[in-house]
Amino acid sequence: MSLPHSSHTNLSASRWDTDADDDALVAGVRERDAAAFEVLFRRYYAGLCAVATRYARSAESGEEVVQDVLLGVWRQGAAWAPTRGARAYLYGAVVNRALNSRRHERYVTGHAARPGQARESVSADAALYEDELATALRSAVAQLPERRRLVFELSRDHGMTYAEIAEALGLSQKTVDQQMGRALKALRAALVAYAALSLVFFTGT
Amino acid sequence: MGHDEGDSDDALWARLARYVGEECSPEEAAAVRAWAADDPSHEALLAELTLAWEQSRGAPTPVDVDRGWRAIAGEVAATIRPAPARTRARLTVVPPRRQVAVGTRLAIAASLVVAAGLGVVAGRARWVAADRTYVSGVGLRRTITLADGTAITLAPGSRLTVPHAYGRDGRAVELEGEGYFAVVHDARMPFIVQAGAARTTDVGTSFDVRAYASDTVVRVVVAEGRVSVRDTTEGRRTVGVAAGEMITVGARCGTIGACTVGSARPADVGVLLGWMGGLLVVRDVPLKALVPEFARWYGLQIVVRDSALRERLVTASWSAEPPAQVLSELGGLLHARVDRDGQRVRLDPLP
Repeated sequence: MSLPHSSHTNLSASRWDTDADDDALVAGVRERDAAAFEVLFRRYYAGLCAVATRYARSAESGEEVVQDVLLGVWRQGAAWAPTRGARAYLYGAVVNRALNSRRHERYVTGHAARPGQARESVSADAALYEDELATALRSAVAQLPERRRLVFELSRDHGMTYAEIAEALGLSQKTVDQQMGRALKALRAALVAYAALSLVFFTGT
Repeated sequence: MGHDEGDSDDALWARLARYVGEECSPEEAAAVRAWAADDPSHEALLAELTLAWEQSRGAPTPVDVDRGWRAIAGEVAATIRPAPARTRARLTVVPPRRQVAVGTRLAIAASLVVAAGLGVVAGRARWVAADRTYVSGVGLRRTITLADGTAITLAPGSRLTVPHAYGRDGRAVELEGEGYFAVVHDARMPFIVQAGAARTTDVGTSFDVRAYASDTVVRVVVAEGRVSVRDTTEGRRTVGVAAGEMITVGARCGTIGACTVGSARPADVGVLLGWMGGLLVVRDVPLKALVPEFARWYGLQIVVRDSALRERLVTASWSAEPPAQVLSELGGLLHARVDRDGQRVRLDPLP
């Protein structure tokens, strides 16, 4: 797959393809290689926005937080040294900035900012059974306490390891372990409740 | 492994979560499978958990990544533009002060009525575009891109004024606070930043100017290219500053002695520009100088009554952490007690 064309950046003889691993991209960004930065940007932008929108006032301000964080990384150049890799750093910074901006708005306006309502849309081509179960499970996730939900989603939806989650959110690995265990327990309770309401329990895999 | 209450229940669920999430070591995975094989109810539970995990993926929210990239690509490009080849001459052409001053006076008159949405020039009613002022709030950076593509990132608690004639009669802006400038090349119109007593001129470079009211000097740090810096009060001295160097200009000039522009010297650009990555970076800064920084970054009013404590030097870097964490780290560094009441914080030395 070739790099998307951008009329702004100078992508002569780019040696970055979209499969480059994070550490190599980090090295490139530290050397102010705009092509490496663009690959990193495109790799994480949507995932970071999904998290930022949760805490920001709107999808637009969520995207602003993410752009701010990514631009900040670019500006740091050689000063950027993510100890546990780009993913943990970026998610950690986005969560932090988004939470701060919510706190700042409360200070400025006197009202607490409402967390953005993430739109849950069910994939149209899933089987009907799986749709309903998936909806029930995601609804259970949405009802988890905020931090547990964030830990779970970083693992399940954003593919982060426990070590990365611990680094990003400033938690101990033991806490991440515990939160994931309790999240799974809540999921199982939702599954059992759903099964009790439906005629079919679950098909064998 | 059983289904007891309390800690071992937590531990069991944590272990099962690691198993279905593929976070566990091969030994742990084997142990879980053995546990499942032990008892049909364990087996059933594991099957339920695997299904619950597989079906619990959240739907991705639609995001226009191309649009997101386009929003910042200009600023990325501006900072990688190669520095133009130039001669060793340090003096660059500065538009005559009078021209700029007239524009500013007109603009001030215009901005007095800007709230009403009108611009009026003394003597004749005329629609005049007003200066634009950009302000960054507590703890927030703000990036502004001007019509010519020049990008300015403001540090917390800063203000940038762009005259209405920017790009026509020259390219001069006014700064209070701190800003990082990524300037687009235009040899006909050098870009000028007036901050405190320092005027910084360049043609196509990236540099940082710092002139908070609470600072005693104006500081210019050059990341790429080259600028020339002149003090605009008494002294006429102009100094060239190259990439990787910094310079300071005395901001308060009394009648005794002239303002001095220091000489250019090597700078730790990564430390001095850490703020752009959202890091408050301080190196050997006395606590009394940190007080206004904390007000700008975290909205905290710090009071230090002990004079010795005020002079203690601090070296640290903080990111966008909660203020409570930053304060506890500061207390630890200084061996001081932190008493916090909302926005007000008292620091006292511990015995």
